[in-house]
Amino acid sequence: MDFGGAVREVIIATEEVKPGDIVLVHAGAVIGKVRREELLDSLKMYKEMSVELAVSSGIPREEAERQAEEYISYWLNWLGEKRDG
Amino acid sequence: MGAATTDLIERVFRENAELANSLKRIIWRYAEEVSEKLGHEIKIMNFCGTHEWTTVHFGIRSLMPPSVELVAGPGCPVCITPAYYIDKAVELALDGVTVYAFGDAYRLPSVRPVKGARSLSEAKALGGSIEVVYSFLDAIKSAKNGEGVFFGIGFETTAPSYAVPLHAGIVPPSLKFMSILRLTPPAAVYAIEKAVEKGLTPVQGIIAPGHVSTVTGAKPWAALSERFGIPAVISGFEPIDLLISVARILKMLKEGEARLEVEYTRAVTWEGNVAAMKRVNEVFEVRDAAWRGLGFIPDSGWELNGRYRGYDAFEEYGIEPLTPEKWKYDLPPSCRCAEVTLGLAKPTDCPMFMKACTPGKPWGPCMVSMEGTCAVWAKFGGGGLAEDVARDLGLV
Repeated sequence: MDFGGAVREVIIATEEVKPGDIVLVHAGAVIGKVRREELLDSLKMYKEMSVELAVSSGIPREEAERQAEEYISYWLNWLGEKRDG
Repeated sequence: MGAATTDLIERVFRENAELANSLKRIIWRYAEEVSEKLGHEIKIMNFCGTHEWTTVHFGIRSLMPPSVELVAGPGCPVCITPAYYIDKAVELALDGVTVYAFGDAYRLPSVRPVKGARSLSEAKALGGSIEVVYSFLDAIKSAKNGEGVFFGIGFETTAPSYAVPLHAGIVPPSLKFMSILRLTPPAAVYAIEKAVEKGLTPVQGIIAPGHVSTVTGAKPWAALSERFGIPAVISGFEPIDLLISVARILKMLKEGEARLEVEYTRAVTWEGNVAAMKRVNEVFEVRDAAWRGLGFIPDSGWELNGRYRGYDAFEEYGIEPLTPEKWKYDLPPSCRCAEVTLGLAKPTDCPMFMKACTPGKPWGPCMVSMEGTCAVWAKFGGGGLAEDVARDLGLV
C-alpha cells in the first residue's frame, strides 16, 4: 500500500481490492474504497441547491440549470482527460 | 489514474474558493428562512473528531451565518476511554507485560497515579514495557515471541482492524486483547438527549461520521434521523463536503423534512462494508459499556465473544471487568472534557483551556488526542481567535 510515497503493509478488511484502487485506510486496515463513479455525486446535491437559489433570485430555471450543469461537466471532463491522457 | 482521482478530490472538494463561496450564499439564504421558522438558532452537531478538525482547520464556522451553530459532539475514542483501563494497562506494563498502544492512547492520563504512573508514557519512563504502534498488525508482528496486551480502543472504524486478524487466526496466542471498543450511535443518542434534558438548544441536524459509516453503512444514521425527526447527512472530510452537508441539512429543515442523505457518496453506501461488519460481529458482541466522564451507556461497547475469549486480557490476567457498581467519575479535577465531548460546553468554556491544559501539557483526555475537540481548537484556533484578529484588523 502506497501512502503517497511511504509503503506499508495493511490488513484488507474489505472485498475486491485490486492494485490501482484508491482505498481508505484506518489504523492499518483498508476499510473501504474510493468509488470513482460516485465521486461527483455530491456535486449533484450542490447543483440542485444552486439552481434553487438562482431561480429564487429571479434567474430562469433553464438558464440556472444550464449554468450548474456546465460547472459539473467541467470537473467530469477534467477527470476524463486525466484518465485518458 | 489514482493520482488524477485524488487530484480531483482536492481541486473540487478542497482548493475551491468559488464553490465554497457559492455554498456560503446557499447556506445563508436557507438559514434565514429556517431560523425565522424555528425562532432560535440552528444547532448542527458532528460526531467525528476529524469533522471537527476540518471545521476548525478550514475556518468553516467563519462562513456560517450567526443563526447557525456547528457543535462538536462525541467523536473521539481516546477521549472517552475510561481511566480504569489506563490504570489496568499501566499495572500490566509495570509488571513486565508488554502493552501495545496507539500514540495518543500512550499519552492518555488517568486520574491518579498507579504505582507512580498516570499514563502509559509515564509508566514507560518508570521502566514499564510499552510499545507504541500504528496498527494492530504491528503488534501482531512484534508479539510473536512474548506476552503482550493490546490496548484496544476505537470506534466502528477501528473494529475491523482487530476483528479481521483475530478471525483469520494470525494473532499469536500470547498476544491478548483488552477490548475498549465503543459504538458511535449510542453516544450520539446520549448527547442529543442530554441537550434536551439540560434545557439547551436542541440539536436540529446531524453531520454523521464518514468513515464510521463507510464501515457500518448509512443505515444506523437513518435510524437516528427517524428517531429524533431531524435531518442527518453523512459527510466527507473535505471542507466542501462539510459545506454541502450543512446546506443540505438547512434545505431539509426549510422544507420540513427529516431524513438521511449521503453526501460522502464516494465512500459510503447504504449497506456499508458488509464483509468487515460480519467479522466484527463474529469476533465481538455488543454490551453495555462505560464512557469516560459519563458512566455506562447501554449497548455501546464491544467485548470479545465466546470463541475468542482466549484472547481476552481481563481473563488472562485476572482483571475484574468494569461494572456500573464499580464505575467512579474519572476525569481529573476541573476538567470539562465530558461536557465538551457531549457538545454541552465548548473548550473555551473550560477555565483550564490553554492555561493549565495545553497540547504540550494536557490535563484531560480531550486535549490529548488529535481527534479531541480541545486539542483541535488549541492547535487550529477553533475558539474564534481568528475572528477576533480579523475584527481587530477591520477585515470583518
